[in-house]
Amino acid sequence: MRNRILLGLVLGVSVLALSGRSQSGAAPPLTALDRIEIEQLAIRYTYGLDTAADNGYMYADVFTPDGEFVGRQVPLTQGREALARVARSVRKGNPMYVRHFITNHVIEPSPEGATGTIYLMVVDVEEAQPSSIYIGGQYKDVYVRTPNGWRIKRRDARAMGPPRTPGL
Amino acid sequence: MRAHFTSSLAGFGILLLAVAVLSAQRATPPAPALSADDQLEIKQLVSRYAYALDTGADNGLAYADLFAADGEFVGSRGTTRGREALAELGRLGFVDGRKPANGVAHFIMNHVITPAPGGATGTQYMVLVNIGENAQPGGNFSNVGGHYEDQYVKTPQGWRFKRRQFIPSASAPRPPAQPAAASTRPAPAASPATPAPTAGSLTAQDYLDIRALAVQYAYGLDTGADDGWLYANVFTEDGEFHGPPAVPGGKPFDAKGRAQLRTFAVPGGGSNYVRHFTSNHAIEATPEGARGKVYLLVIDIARDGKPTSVNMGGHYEDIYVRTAEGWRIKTRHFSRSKSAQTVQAEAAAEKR
Repeated sequence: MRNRILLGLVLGVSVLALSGRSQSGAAPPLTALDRIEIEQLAIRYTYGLDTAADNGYMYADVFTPDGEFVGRQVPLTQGREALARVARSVRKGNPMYVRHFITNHVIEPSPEGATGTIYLMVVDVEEAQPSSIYIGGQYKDVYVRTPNGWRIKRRDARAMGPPRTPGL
Repeated sequence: MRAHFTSSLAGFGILLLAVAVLSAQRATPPAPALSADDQLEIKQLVSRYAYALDTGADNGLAYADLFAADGEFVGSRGTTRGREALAELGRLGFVDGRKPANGVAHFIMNHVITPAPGGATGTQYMVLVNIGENAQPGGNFSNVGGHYEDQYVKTPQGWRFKRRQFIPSASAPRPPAQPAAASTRPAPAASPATPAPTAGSLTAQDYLDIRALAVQYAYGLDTGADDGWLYANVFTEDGEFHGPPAVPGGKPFDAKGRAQLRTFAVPGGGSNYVRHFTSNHAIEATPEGARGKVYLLVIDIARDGKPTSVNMGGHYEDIYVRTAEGWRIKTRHFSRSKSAQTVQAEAAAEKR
């Protein structure tokens, strides 16, 4: 009888502890390799977009299958096929083309996986032509871990170009 | 008696020497190794610096709190120390007296981190970019660029700046170097032994080491440090570089072996010269080691009093191998950025 009470207490405490953990939604920490894989993901995004490799799927496959890109000019692009079309539409894209320069990647753990922010400048820097910065700003990302590794669930690029109310 | 006195004197001398050596060792403890987590946290600290300064978030405290309690920033205004003074610096507008329109201006690249007694030191390149100003989506490079020199310290709250100094880019051409004498050049110290990775896999430390290698390349090329050997030694002994000519019809940049490679980096622009901004370093494991691609922007920051401009841009394609000295570049090919239309036109012209 005494053992049964003890077992009941232990089980009860365990259940409470587990439910407390799931309710709190604490962000699990990221390992060094997690952070590096997320950085590599963000970098692969730029190669996918600039080279239009693999018929646009290199770009599309940095997102989850239901992943989405939110921009200023194109409000929402969602899903693998739509995202691949975006990369294919880069008229100048090829393995020699570089345009999306990213840096200052801050990554934070989140209950869902991780979030991140990155600086971007899109530089037109082709041989024998004057260079200029086409656009720049920040990406704000949500990353999730999938069976195929870390992927972008959502990328928000609305902080591109001038603010909607200049001067603010 | 004299012999006894001499031996006593010698013994006393040895004792003094031993004490001196011991106290010297105590005074300068060896730099503890940095874990991959440490290095990544320091990288995050530097990234956060840009956001904090470009936005002035939390009334400047987001910026101030990146520094240790006794941390200081050294810049054109002198030394700023203390949380309130640093917060004031964080609030400061630097684009016509205000913060950048997009909240984006400090593009920081080429981060090198080195363990040091008490923490770590680091450097990065920075170029200040004006984007989204005057209601225009594009922008231009400002005339502000250079490098940071940092001291980091680990606090209970995480890694913080103990000291950060910004040094504007300045070219100080050095005298031409002496002819290369590769055979007399001592090999760099071997890296601490690391467990051999499984074929086709890279550890977090491997990624960091390879990234550091590519960044060291930029510093070596721009500064010409160590008589060009800082640059040459990022390659294997038989490493190769191949790049297109600087001008159409010119001589391509081809070199094999450190002695030839070294000539690309001499005389160099001196320790404060920054020009090769690298980013987007993609790394993949291969059976041989690893391969990678890196974007490059060659930026002339207010050179010869002219507005800052991009000299050229493109990407490197690299093969990396692990050697007794650590990871090294075996081959590096540089290609200038070209649109699909240019590539097609060139291919058509070759056929004709």
